[in-house]
Amino acid sequence: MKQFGQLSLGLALAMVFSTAPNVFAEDGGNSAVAEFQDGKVEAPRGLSPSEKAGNVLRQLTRKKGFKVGGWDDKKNRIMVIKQTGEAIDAYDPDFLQKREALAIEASLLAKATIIESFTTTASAENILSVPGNPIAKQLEAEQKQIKAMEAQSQKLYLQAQRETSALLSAYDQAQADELSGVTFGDRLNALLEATIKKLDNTFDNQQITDDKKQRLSDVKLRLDKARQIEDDKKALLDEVQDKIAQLQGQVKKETRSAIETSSSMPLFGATTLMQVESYDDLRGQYNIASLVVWSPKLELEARAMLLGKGKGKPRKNKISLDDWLDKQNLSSMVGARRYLDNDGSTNFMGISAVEYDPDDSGSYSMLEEEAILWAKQAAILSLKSSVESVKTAERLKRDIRGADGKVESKILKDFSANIQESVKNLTIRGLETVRIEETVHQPTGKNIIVAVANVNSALAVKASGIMKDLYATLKEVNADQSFIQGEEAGMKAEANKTLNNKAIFDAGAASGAKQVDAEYDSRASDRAAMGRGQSQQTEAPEANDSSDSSGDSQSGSWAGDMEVDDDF
Amino acid sequence: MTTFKRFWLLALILFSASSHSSDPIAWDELLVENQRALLAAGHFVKSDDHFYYLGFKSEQQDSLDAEFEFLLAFQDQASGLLADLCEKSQSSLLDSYQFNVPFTKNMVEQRQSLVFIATVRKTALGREARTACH
Repeated sequence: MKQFGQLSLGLALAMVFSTAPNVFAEDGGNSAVAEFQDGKVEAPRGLSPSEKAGNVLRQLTRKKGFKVGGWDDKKNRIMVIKQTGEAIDAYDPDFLQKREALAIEASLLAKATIIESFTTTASAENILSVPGNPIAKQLEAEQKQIKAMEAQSQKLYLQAQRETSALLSAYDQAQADELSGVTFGDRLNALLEATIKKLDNTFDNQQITDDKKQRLSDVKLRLDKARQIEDDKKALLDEVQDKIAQLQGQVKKETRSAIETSSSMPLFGATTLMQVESYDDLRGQYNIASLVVWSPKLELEARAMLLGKGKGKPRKNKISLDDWLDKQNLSSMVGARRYLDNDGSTNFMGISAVEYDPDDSGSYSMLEEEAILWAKQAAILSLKSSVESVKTAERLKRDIRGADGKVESKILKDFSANIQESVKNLTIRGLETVRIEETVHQPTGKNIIVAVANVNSALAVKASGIMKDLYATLKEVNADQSFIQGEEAGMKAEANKTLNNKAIFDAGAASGAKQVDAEYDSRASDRAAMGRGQSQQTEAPEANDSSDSSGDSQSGSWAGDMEVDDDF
Repeated sequence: MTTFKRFWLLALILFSASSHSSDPIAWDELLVENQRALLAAGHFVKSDDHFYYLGFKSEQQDSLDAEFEFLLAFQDQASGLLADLCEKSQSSLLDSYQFNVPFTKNMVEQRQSLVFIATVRKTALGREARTACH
């Protein structure tokens, strides 16, 4: 890492890794690819820092005249370049994992592009929704109330006008006529006010009947009520204004456009032909670009491999897989590759790398296994995978009433993509690990273990034969084991027939007792010579013969365990 | 074989031949033919007897961002074609409508841009017009 940093802070390391298939040479339309495979195309190295991986790869493909993007009808193949990248610091402990994830992302994007070029289904909708006039609708009740109030106050004013005019006509016909002729409004209000005042004064100074006074009093009440209604209406109108202000900003119209495209199909034999990774250690920008290729020829190879018919004729113009791997810069390769060996086999490979600490040998084997597992995944998914791509885009145009009452448009956008490849319960024959290499990841200077897994067509073909031999051997061993187990079981069973046999035990016990008794008797003269009496004869051991309990100790023999195992 | 049967066999062969001639135009040909329109307007809509060809150019660096632009452009272009179809049948496109069409898509990398070329069968879009027009 330091070495690279010293060489050039912004050195973009772009490495091209050839891999893939020389089978194209035999495909008729893929000789260019074969040339690349055979190393006839130079890998760009030491490019300027500004050169991103994708650009390098595109330049290379242009130079070679590869038709990249869509289906190449003349060559009967499709090539797709995808670049992914992100800012990763060189010291990031997850750099290698992120690198692998980006490589997978590039591969997935490329595979999605490949299947989408065959068939895609678009489901789209455009929906225009106009919520009506929400303000008018929500103020409907208030509007009704205001109208009713207006009608009521007008009615009261009119009644007051008529009544006041009638009362005044007795005193001032001209003014009474003027009052009658005034229409609804401020002038009427003022005239009524003045007239009532005048009538009040007149009534105070003259003898007026109670009826007239009552009528004037009613007029005043009507007028007060009308004014109260007017005040209430005014308050209500203020409330309505507040409400209108609150309702401003609501959606007036909405147009929603949504489209979803989906594509899914199985893909056999799609592989990475070239790959470039670039790193700008000054900015920490890492990019990886992959040129993914698929053709019916590749599919046939994968098919043959899966069906165990993948061993072809030796190819004199090719080198062995081992030699080919020797030539590669494995530190900068990740993902799927394919190579045709000179022995006639087809090899769908997967390459993966994990970082390791040379000072931590304890974790080495686990890391190695991890790299192998990811490499195998890449190899298998190259051979066969179900690819599915679902992309959705949505655009929402909203017309919103602004605070100033003007309508403005706002656009909201959303995009999502879900691309996946998977393989389930696939039995692969010929899957092997062909290379484990400790090396240095050049962009970061990290120590890495690179694992190369491979599905080898020759091994896949041989697998059946190898497995036949293995299973035949297993059958023989199983038969022999069964015989041995039966033999031992028979021996044990036969031996067990005399196990814990009471009759034999009793016979043995009797025989033993007899022998001891005979021996004892034979020693009678000897005991006599030693001056021992016959007294002990009475103490000859007898089974279950309880001794005399009168003394502190006693001599004899007792046997408690009557069932004794003698299987030793 | 009767003359009648021969006639039908001939008709079948002719029909089969005509079906073969309904292959879409290759995307690279379309790209060359419509390069000017792509440069000027950033998109094109072409058609032949059997297909519509919708081209769209995106300046986005990120392919997924470009894809997003394409999807929206595709929807607009397909909606425009539906509106034309409605007009031809003296009807108009509904304010709210849905369509579901299969298509093929080629994404071509060009200098500083990505070009999408979608190919839609006329019959597929015509079928959708039946429900989208009123």
